[in-house]
Amino acid sequence: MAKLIYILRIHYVMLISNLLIFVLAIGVASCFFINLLSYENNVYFTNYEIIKNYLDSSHLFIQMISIIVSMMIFSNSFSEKNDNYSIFLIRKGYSRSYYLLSKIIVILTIIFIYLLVSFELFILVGKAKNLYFNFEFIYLNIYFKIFIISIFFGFLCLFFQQLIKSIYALIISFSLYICSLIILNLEYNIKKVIGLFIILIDNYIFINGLFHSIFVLVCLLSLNLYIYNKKDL
Amino acid sequence: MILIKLENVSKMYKKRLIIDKVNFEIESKNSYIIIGENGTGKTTIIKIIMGLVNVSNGIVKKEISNIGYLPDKCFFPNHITVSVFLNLFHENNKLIDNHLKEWGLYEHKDKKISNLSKGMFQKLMIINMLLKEEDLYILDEPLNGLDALSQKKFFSKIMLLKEKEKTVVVATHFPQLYKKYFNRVLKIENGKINIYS
Repeated sequence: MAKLIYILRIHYVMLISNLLIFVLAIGVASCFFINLLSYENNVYFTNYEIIKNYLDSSHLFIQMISIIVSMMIFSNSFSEKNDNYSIFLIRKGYSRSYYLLSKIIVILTIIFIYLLVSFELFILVGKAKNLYFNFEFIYLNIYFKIFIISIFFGFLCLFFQQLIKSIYALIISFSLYICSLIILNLEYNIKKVIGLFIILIDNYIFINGLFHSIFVLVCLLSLNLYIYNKKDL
Repeated sequence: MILIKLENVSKMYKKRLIIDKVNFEIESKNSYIIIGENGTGKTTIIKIIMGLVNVSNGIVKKEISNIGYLPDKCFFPNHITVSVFLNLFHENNKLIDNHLKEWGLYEHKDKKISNLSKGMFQKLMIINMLLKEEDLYILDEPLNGLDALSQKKFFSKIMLLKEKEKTVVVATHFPQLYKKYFNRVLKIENGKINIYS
């Protein structure tokens, strides 16, 4: 356990830079303004419709920003400059897998905290604008799904980062995310087939279910681990 | 005692054979210099020993897990300072300060590593390597950027390691400087290693 805490501390210090804090702050601020702008108090709407409209309008943008933040963190953390300290840990006897997995734990914790703050903002803005707006489990469930899809595109970005070793990894991953949004407009059966390889969320539900999504994440993580173990540092 | 053994090790980079079925052993209490022209694979051999580069063929057997290492080049995140880096990887603050003072880096301890000069960066890498006592030290071009005074200090440290019967491996372009400290020479030519005593 002490070994794990030691390496997590190193990752934390190496990753938390002014740039990262800036990216997270921009992300949180964007979420806040999106929440504010998404709330439309239309007199012809029922209270249920107002709240549903608030959720629908903010959801896509918050998901998009969270995915961008996740991809930026993964891409930046595994750039040559920010990942080269691995040699000092490997010389201490840590395996590459241990190094990579522990670093991913730290990154996921950062993304989790970021989404938690975004969620709090969603609730706070809702409460501030509407007296009848209450915390509901379904909101938490929706943010959990945003967390899962953010991890997926983060892993995808790491995969491309390891392959092409360039900032273009971020652009490729983001393009794939845009493609996934287009795929959502296709026929259900097509979505279901394509959804076997990527995680798709339609109307707040995973196209192929939660377990399939976790399976895809595990596969992508394993692929990243394999590449990291095989590549030259 | 054999610390590291390379058996039929080959390494290819983009279909180019850099290391070709190399066999050699690093024995404890010996000192080795690795020589060879630019691009012959000195750094690759060191990285293979360190486990930073995977071999295309062959086996690397290690009887030792912790190795003192001085890389030829490495990078750090922009925000990491000298003291943050050393404190992360070593616990004894007093020892860190002593080394920083000895190498003239104490007044630069709050400087970002990315802002250090080449010589200062090399001194930092030497300090990092010396802070923890190991049985085997591997150094890749350790004199890079060092001034005459620092080179003298470096050799006194090598002498000290030898007195403690540590094993030292150095890759260099200047074997004549190391003559009196090292007893074995590994010469890399056309992907092969020739060993001279």
